[in-house]
Amino acid sequence: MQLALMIDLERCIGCKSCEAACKAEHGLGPGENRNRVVWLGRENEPGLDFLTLSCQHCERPACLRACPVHPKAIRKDPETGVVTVDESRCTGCGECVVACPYGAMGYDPVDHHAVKCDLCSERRAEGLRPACATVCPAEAIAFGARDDLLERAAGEGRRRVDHDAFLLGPSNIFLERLRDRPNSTRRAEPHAEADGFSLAGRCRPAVVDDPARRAKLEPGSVIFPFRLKRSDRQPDAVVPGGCNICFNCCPTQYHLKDGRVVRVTGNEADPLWRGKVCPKSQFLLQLYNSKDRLTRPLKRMGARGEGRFEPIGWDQALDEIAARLSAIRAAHGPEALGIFAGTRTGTLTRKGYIRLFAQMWGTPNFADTEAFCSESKNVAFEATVGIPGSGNSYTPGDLGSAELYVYMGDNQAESRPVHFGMINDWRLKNGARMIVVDPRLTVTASKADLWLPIRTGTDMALALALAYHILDADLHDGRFCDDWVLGWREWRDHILARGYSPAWAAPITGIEEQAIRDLAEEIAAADGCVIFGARGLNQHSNGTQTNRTLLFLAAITGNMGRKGGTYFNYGTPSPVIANAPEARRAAVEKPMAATNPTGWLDAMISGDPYPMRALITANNPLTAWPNQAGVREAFEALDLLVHIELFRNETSAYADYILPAATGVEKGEIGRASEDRRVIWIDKVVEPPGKAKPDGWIWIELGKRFGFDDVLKEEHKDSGRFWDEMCIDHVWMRGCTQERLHSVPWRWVRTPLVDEGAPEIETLHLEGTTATGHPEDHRFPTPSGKLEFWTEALDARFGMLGLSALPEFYTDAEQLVDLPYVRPRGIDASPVRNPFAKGHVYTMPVEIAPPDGEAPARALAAQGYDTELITGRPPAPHFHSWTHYAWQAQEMWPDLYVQIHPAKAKRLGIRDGQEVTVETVRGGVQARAWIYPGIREDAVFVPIGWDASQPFHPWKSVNFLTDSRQRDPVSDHSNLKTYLCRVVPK
Amino acid sequence: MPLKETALPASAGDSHQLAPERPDLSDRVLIRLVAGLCIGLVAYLLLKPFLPEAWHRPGSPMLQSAAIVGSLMLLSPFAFWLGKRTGLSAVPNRLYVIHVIASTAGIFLVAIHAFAGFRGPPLFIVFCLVLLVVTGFIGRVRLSAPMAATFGSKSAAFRPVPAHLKEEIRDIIRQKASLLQRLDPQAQEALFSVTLHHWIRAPRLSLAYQRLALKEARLTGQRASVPPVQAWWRLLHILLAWAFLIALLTHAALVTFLPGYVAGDGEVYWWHLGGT
Ligand code: HEM
Ligand code: SF4
Repeated sequence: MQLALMIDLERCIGCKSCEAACKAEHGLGPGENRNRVVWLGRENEPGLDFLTLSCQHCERPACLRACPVHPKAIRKDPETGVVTVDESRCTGCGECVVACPYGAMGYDPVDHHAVKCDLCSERRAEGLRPACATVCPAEAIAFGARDDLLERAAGEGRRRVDHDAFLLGPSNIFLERLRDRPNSTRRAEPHAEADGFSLAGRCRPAVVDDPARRAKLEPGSVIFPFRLKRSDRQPDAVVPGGCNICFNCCPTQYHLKDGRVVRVTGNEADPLWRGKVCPKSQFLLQLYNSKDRLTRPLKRMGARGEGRFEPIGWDQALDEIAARLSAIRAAHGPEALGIFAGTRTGTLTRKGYIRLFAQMWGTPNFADTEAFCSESKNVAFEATVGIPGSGNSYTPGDLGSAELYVYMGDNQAESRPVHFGMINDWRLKNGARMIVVDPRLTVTASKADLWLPIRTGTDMALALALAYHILDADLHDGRFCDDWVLGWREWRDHILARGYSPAWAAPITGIEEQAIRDLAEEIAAADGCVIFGARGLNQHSNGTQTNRTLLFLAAITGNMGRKGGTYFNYGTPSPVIANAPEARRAAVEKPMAATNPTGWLDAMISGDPYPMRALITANNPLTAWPNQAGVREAFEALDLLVHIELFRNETSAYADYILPAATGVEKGEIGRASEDRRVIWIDKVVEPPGKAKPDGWIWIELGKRFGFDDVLKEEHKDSGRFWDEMCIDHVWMRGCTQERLHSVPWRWVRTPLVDEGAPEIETLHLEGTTATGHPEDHRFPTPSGKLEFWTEALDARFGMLGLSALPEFYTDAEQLVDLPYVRPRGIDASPVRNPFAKGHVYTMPVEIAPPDGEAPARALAAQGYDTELITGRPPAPHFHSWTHYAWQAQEMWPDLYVQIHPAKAKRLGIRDGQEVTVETVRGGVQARAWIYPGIREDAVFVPIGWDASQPFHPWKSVNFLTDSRQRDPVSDHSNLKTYLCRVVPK
Repeated sequence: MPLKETALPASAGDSHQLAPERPDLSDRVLIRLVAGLCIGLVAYLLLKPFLPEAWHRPGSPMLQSAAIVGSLMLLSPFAFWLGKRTGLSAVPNRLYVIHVIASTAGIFLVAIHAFAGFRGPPLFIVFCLVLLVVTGFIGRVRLSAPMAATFGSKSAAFRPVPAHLKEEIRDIIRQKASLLQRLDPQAQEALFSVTLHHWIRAPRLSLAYQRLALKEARLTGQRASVPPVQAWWRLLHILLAWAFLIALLTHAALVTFLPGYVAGDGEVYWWHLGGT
């Protein structure tokens, strides 16, 4: 029986999770591969494919025949057909590496011997599947007897790639792509014949897996337990938990040995996940064991930014910080303290410990990253649906039952690979269609039946035109609209009157009129359409209105409150809210300086509207906030900057005190705000490195110095206890206790759970149901119990800001074509209280300006800024700065890159991999060119997450190019997606 | 709720063999070894003018002894070559380590012998030794990273190939299979390559088979699939080794059995067996 892997090119999303699993399983170091996912672009047309390479276990192994050792160091098992290398017999001559035409023979460059895939012989001996097949988020790798796999492929009507060019009889099977390549004009037929697969005409981007950049990873970067003997990596316990990196909240298992994490894997006990994880959770291993972790409190010695610190004790650090905070409060009031904590710190920290501290301290200025990630969608959903997200779930019966998936501004395959893997699996199994609207052929788009390359920032125009066509052609779900939507007629009249037709939208979006009509008709006709939106929509100055328009579109087509249909913009956070007793809350006299923390910069620099003199921050504002020059100026001006983090980063250099934090299994917490209401609990099972402490510990200890310990109690350092006692006092959360969370081996439950015994609800807002905590028959948790497009009250709220509840098209100020944008009302206007803000905050009313001679875009174009800059997330192995400390992520994607269309690159004389400068009017950053036909010709894309102080491949953050003042007037969300720039070859 | 779960076997089994059982020379040790050799030789050259007469005559008892010991040490690579091909060594890399260390020491000894009279045809031996060190050093220290980076870098197998190519390969396989019936009837073509044993027992058949194997390798573009240095360094290293061996044996035979011929007009002052 010949064993083999079967790799489905239609499913593979290039995330490299299999690479991560392989290295962890076999303890491989940099450069050592038993498998690799090769990224393949097309030379002259948009296209992206991934080839997962590992030993093909050939019938006539060229490697084996080339091995000069006798008896051979390479053998083919007569029973299983698996080709293995006996590393102890290998002399490292490299003849097998030369001989294998698949390039599938690995080599250990340190110990000088061949390494190769043996289909995880040790795991097979235990009855387990190979590691790569276990983790694959896309279920692209199947393992089994070759004949069985062939039978399965034939049963599914799949064609095999012929990769036996040299008659070696490779055993592994590659299944061809099902459909034609996505193309902006050509529409692929759902079951079109495959077009064959060949590497001819495909190219590897220089910025992926660049071997030249691997030199930086040697030798000190290889950390425990990589390159250790298997017996030294053998766990003595395996504990279920979750990954705390992204919104996918994957169930994981932490493998422990002598109190250290030796491995992170998926949790195969979970019936939905079955062990699938992306590479990032596996990199947590490198985070827990990293030598770069902060381990002692540090106090600044030199000037801000200089980076000179001395280690001090916790007591000294906290006493000094407390004394300086007291002095600032005495001089400027409690609001002079700003607190910023991103999602790295964990939900318990932000919604629990810090929230209590801020309430007792009395500052309104506490912000997290919502204004950079999803505040605009939160506002849109809350105003329309009543909760900040969709009520649907990633289950076969819900999101898995759609007929059509439309992605707009959501590159799910790279941002939440496991969930995308599920959707793609359901798409293939159910014959559903997938359409992606994105300026780039993202990995998500590369899997789609149709890719519509839209101009950045114009999704609202597309959504309006889709709705126009549906309403105009009477394709909407009239019954649903009449029964469950308030103000839909007003909205219909508004868009028809405005003439937001496909003909109007075509030149704005760059999408053909007919394609818009087709898409509208497809959405209206589908029995279940899920429209996915994400940061690509949120991070614009029209984020709220774009999200609302898409919600409206889903609603009028009957795709709200049903299984297999929704507008889905992640996540739907569960309401974790800790509150201090009323009597213990300090009176807050001043309004918040701004919802968006970049709105605090004036308060820091010039005391407008009042002085902000101290900032306690986690994460890395000196990379993550837009307008880096401005943020630096503001941080220079502070009297006190405290930085709480896992690693030293650019923000640390400006801090007065750096406090070393703990994360995940070092402290015990829940995962992130999950996409679909799941709360996943992660136990504390190891100690933080050195003197690092959980964020909760730090806030409790700091609180003690101000007498807050009657609320932020000593015993709350136990995060599980803090959760039960302080965090779940909400009707959605009461049943989400530690006991309930620990009652399942996958450690997650789906809220709302009104009590510990309540059943989980797969889909919220179904017809005939009542929203949790709302009056009977209130199907949706809005004041009216219906979806609210337009009401007088809502219109009054928008009116205060100078807008209307009936979304009127505008976009970001810096566009290549003339389009309306928002600007603050004239100088005589005065700030108004923002009726959509969570706190008490004032904002300037705006007006929608026509693209006239005053438009900033025209002035910038005149200065030669001739390209649209789009920013966004990097490929799946990276996430913000987390992964930049993991050598393995650095091996996969070392460098900051800029995707440039070949026509533009040719005009500018830029080669693939060459270093270039991207400039906006605010500054410039260097990056390596990735010449990519899958991006609009007039746009470039630069990812986030790189920081000039990172250990392996430091690059300046893209936020030196962005602006802090271009914000959505409703939600205060930053525009991070559309700027005019130019590319200058180096 | 720490550590209360039952310990599942993550991926138990300890059959995976990593470096410890297999001795190796790290890049750092190799660099030190070669640097040591160079420094030693330079130091010797600097000291040489101040050394007594015996150190200036290659055939002096001391330097001839050095040459003999050095040459014997320089035979260790051939033990490696043999060990690798005969199954005499369970861990052939042990012999690799010995070949490097012993030949480095051997080179030092042979070099001090050669430096005494740096002229004539024996220079070829020195030339081979220098190139052997250079190729060996490059092969290991410089080419290990590119060797690792070869993984996933080839594409030929996934490209369309000319129709006749498969036919030609099929033909070679047929020929190999039929040769094999005479060369080693038990063996399968798919897993077979010619061993020392075959070369000794049936040299002509082995040669025929090896030619077919080389032809197949050429058709499948094996050496062309990696950068030329990576493809050819080892072959060059081995050719140099054999060239060295032949030159060494010739030199040894001449000075031993035809000392007069070697001395020409000069004096035969070294140990020898033959007449003049
Ligand atoms: C610093 C000195 C040297 C280094 C670093 C070195 C390195 C190497 C390396 C890396 C290999 C490939 C391993 C393999 O084929 O399994 C090799 C093979 C070999 N070396 Fe060297 N070498 C050195 C000196 C020499 C010398 C002086 C000789 C000959 C007098 C020699 C003869 C050979 C032979 C015959 C092989 C082929 C072994 C085989 O395939 O069976 N080497 N050497
Ligand atoms: S980073 Fe996200 S997708 Fe990846 S394992 Fe963690 S939760 Fe899952």
